[in-house]
Amino acid sequence: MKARRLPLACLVTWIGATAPLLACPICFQVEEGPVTAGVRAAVVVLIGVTVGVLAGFGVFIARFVARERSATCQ
Amino acid sequence: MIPYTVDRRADTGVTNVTMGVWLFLASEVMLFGALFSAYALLRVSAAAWPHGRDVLSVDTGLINTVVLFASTFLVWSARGSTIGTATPRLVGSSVLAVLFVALKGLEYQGELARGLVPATNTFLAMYFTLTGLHALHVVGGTIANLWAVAGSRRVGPAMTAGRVHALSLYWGFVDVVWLVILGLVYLS
Repeated sequence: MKARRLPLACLVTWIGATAPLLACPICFQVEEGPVTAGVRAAVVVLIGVTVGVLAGFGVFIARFVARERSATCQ
Repeated sequence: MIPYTVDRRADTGVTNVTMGVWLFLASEVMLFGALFSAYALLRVSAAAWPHGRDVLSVDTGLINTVVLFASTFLVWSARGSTIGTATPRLVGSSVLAVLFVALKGLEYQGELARGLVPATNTFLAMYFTLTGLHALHVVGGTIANLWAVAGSRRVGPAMTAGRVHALSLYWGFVDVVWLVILGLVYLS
């Protein structure tokens, strides 16, 4: 039952969160300016770093799962 | 005693020391990542941004790069060697690391004498923040090197090898961060 409610909860959260996200005055403001460009660059750098770290964790977890599977097969 | 400091865990495939260092380095990447993000924000939004090569001593930066890489090379060359071989290499690495910090101090002294302080502009504020934090990491690595040397006889060759392996990963990270700083601050 809980598994069925999860996608619905995600959908509701996504729809509900979209409007505030689009209202962000820095990333989505109409007027372009140096501060807006700077914040965008900062966000891109931070996303790049975060994705890199998360990818490292992902590789480790994938290795972990592969080791677990090979141990189970044996 | 904490288990798996010497032997690899069957489930993770690495020792707890290696696992701990990788997790520590992940947190360090996020720390420097936040600072590089702040650098991007300040640089892109700044009306005027000085060239690092016009303000800073690029020669000192390049010399420090060689010194830091030589220091890291000595730690990496100590991997898998005996305590007798690893000890002078770790000590040599520490001496080079101290030389790096000393050169950095001289560089700071020259800049402060010219009136270049963090309050001068945001470029210099970022320069002192990034290089100062990096220098603190070099100091920390030096202390860790000497700690590994001092404890090598007591803990034995197996655990010392694990510590040297962990140190080599740490110094590799310190080198990568320095290269980014060199490119962003000195050469841009």
